[in-house]
Amino acid sequence: MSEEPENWSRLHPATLAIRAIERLPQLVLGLPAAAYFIGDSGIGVALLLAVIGLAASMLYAFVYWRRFTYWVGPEQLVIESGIVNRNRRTIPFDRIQDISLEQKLLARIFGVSIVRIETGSSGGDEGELDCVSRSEADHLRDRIRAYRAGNAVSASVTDESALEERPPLYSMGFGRLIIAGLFNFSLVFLAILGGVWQYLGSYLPTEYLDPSRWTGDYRKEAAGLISALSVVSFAILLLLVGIVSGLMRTIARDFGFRLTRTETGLRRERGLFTRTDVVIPLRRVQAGIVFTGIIKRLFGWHALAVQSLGSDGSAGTHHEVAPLAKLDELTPVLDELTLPLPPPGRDFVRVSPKLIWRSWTQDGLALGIAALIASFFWSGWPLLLVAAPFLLIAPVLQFRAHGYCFAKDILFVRRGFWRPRVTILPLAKVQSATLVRGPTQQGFGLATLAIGTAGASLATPLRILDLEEDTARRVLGEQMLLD
Amino acid sequence: MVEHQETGRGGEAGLTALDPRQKTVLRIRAMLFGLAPLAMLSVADFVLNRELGFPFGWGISLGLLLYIFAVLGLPGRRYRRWGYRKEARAIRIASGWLVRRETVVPYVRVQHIDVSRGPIERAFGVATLTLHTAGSYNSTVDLPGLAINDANRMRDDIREHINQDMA
Repeated sequence: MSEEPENWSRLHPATLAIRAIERLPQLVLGLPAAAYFIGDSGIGVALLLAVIGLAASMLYAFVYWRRFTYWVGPEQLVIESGIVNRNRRTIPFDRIQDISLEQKLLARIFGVSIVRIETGSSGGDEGELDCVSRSEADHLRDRIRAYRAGNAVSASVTDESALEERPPLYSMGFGRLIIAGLFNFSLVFLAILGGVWQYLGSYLPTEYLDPSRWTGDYRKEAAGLISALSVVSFAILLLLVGIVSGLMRTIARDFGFRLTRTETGLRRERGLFTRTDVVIPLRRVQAGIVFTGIIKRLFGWHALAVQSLGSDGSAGTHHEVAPLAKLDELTPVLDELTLPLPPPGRDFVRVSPKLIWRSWTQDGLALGIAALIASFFWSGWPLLLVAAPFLLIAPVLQFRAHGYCFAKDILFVRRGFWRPRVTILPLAKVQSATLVRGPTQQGFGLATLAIGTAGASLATPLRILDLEEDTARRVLGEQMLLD
Repeated sequence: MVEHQETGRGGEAGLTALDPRQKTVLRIRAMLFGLAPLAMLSVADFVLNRELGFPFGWGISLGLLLYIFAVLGLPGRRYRRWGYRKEARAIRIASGWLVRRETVVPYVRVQHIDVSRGPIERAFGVATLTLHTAGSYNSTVDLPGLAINDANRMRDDIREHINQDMA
């Protein structure tokens, strides 16, 4: 530590107000639980306990806030925190990979922002300032960016404003947002309603929801009407709920979507209530993924995500950089990533058609075994055979959607019938490759090529399924790694 | 450099086999790790017999059969599937009895290398070479059953490759 700085800063005081407001809902939701545990002594005691709890947690938050200080040095950020065990963390600007700003609704009202600093050491956030004022956050980011660009701190301001003038690489107008929302039909609201129901169900007067109360003596007349009308109206209701919740989710997430180029990466701003501002450094980008849906594709809509070493909160390491765009709108973004557009479908090489037979064999065996076991204790086991037609069709669709294509030093892999996606992977980013041959595949002489890339989700590594064994070996040996 | 022994059957042509002592290591491990499933099946047998009146002996005999296969049959088969070859710019590692895998890791992509030895491995003078890559799939690639000197030599060789590529 060179010199002990005088100008330690604290987080913005609004942090405390935000904490308090954030805890209120917990308090309200916790009340029934508290009342339950206390039993008969009534809501008054529960309320008192809850208020004491809130006060205690606010006291903790206040002490923590008092003891949390940071200092922005000429070439490092120092954070001191901890109430009893003091922790002093020094993050050199050199090591900072990624700075993202996030503003939830409350934070926007108070004009503050969470600053997340990532150094790429172990994954996760290595430094978090929650929250500082928006101007302070911007200042911090500019300072770090300027340092990394090799400029003097003072000279950076003009460059920065010049950069901001550049038109965005991609942005979403309101019309586009509505279209995206319509495609994002979702029934997630039903799940939320179900959850609320579970929680509050016992507090609601259930007799209103008992159908016999409403049908009563008219039961017979009503029954016929209900069966026809209610099915239709229920379907329409579901449709409406799906459309509305899709629209709301999309607007909340992607409102004001803007993608711009900074000197080191792509900067994405989006969100209506929670506004996020993320910089994706270009050199951390591993692959591009162009994905669409079976209906979206009919209208020529696609989306682009990049697979990066950074983390994007809950979205893992896939950053969506264009949620809904025509292919030619993706070109400028892909150009910045130095990735090409995926070639047209006819350029893709199909995998072995034996994929279909291999799937039928495996699925048939699995279904047979399941039916056999079920037949011992379930008289309705023949119902399982309803799955058979789907199992027959699915591999055919999968086969038709699957393919790969090599173009110079780029590998394209496309997959998926309902949600077609093309992965654009520069061969230089391939970390390892494995030929996997399961027992069924050995029988058919097939091999799956699994490709290890950095930042991919572990559940779905990049795979080319069911190549002929010699083709797979040739691809592995000549094209992937060893040339 | 260890002399190249071709794997007799299975595997891919031109692969170097593991140290023969690895077969014993695999067998001892199978003996130890097989005990838990054997015990579970025996207990299940006992409980099913007592509580539900299942005929006695099913679980135990199934467990014993599996145990005998795991100890006597499986280690040899698994051992024969293992093999590796050092290419000019990558290492190729094959393994797997039921599901066969063949992994290629370019030396440039190796992030760091471990040579590790458990108690059983130490007793038989073998070691496991572990290559770490940046990929999330195959983030570690194991090559067990190398004589300790070979493992150390391979580690140094690969390290040299990495250094050359960095230069």
